[in-house]
Amino acid sequence: MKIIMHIFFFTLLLSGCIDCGPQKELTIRLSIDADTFLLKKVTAPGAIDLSIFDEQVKNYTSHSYSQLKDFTFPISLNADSTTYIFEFENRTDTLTLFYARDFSYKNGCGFVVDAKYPNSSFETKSTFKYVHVDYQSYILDEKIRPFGTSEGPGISIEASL
Amino acid sequence: MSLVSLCGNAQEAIEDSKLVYIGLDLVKSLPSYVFPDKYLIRNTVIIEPYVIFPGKDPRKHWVLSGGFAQGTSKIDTTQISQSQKFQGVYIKMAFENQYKRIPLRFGYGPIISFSGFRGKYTFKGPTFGDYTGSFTDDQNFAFGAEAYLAYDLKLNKKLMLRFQIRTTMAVRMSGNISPDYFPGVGITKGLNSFLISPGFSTQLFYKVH
Repeated sequence: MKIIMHIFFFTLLLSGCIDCGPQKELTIRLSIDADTFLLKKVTAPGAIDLSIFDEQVKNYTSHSYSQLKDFTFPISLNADSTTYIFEFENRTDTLTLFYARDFSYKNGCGFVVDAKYPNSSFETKSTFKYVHVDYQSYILDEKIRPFGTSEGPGISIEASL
Repeated sequence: MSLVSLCGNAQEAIEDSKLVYIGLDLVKSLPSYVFPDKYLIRNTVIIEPYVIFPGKDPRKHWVLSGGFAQGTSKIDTTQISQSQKFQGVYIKMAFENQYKRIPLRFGYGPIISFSGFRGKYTFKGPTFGDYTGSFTDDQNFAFGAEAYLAYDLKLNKKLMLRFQIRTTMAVRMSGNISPDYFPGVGITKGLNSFLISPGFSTQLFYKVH
């Protein structure tokens, strides 16, 4: 009986589960090397609720001693690009991210949403000096092992002024 | 006296078993109109005619049936796809046995169904607004088997009510969206390639000479 329980447990451990991805508004991870500039506000044209930006900027200003800042910003599911406007103390920068939305049906999940490398020839348009985008799927194809990564990493951006 | 009447009934039963009955399902679509917000399907038309033919053996019959279903599944606001529209036609056949001691009939037989599904799905976008897309999964084919137990209640010389409990199983050969209701099979929410659904129904039969 004990052996059966062990086999059952290990089968469960090895079988893993399906990754369905976030199944909601996707977010990108953005790291800005802002040096001594103080970020005052982030807005996004077309956004109906800016509270998520305000919240993160508030956290940013309260910990402004660190140089590199990480943000988690949502991207629009209604367009293949999203523009962010960064208002610093003495300058304003814009960053437009391009991507290709992919809505599909996945067995065991239902409808899922992913954002992939854009069909357009550019990844971003920006006034930042340096921008690098890493496009990764939000949904892992292979089964997830328990205690492993829970979902695809998605899009991440590094930018510096 | 009772022996005579019993023999009479048995004789009548055997006489009856040589006749053809035509019938129609009365119940399947009813709850979808009476409780459209609570039941698993809403405002659904299900037309399911039946014909019972006598077999060579007076205690065996065979039943031919078809059906058409068109409707909408229950709205589930917690889901990305909250509801589905479905439409389908199906054909069923059953071999039916009558028993000496039990007033029930047991039937089993194959079923095939051609169905299609349509609907919308919405990803909530608290920051940039919701995204709503639509889907069409038009060509679904499933085949399987149905087994049932039926109790026949004679209303008069011509009419008979049949109460039936059944289980239907089917394998879906095409289509990819998990159906909430698969015409011919029944409620199949959460199932994908292997469909199974139990049910209860009532049919009204008319004796044909």
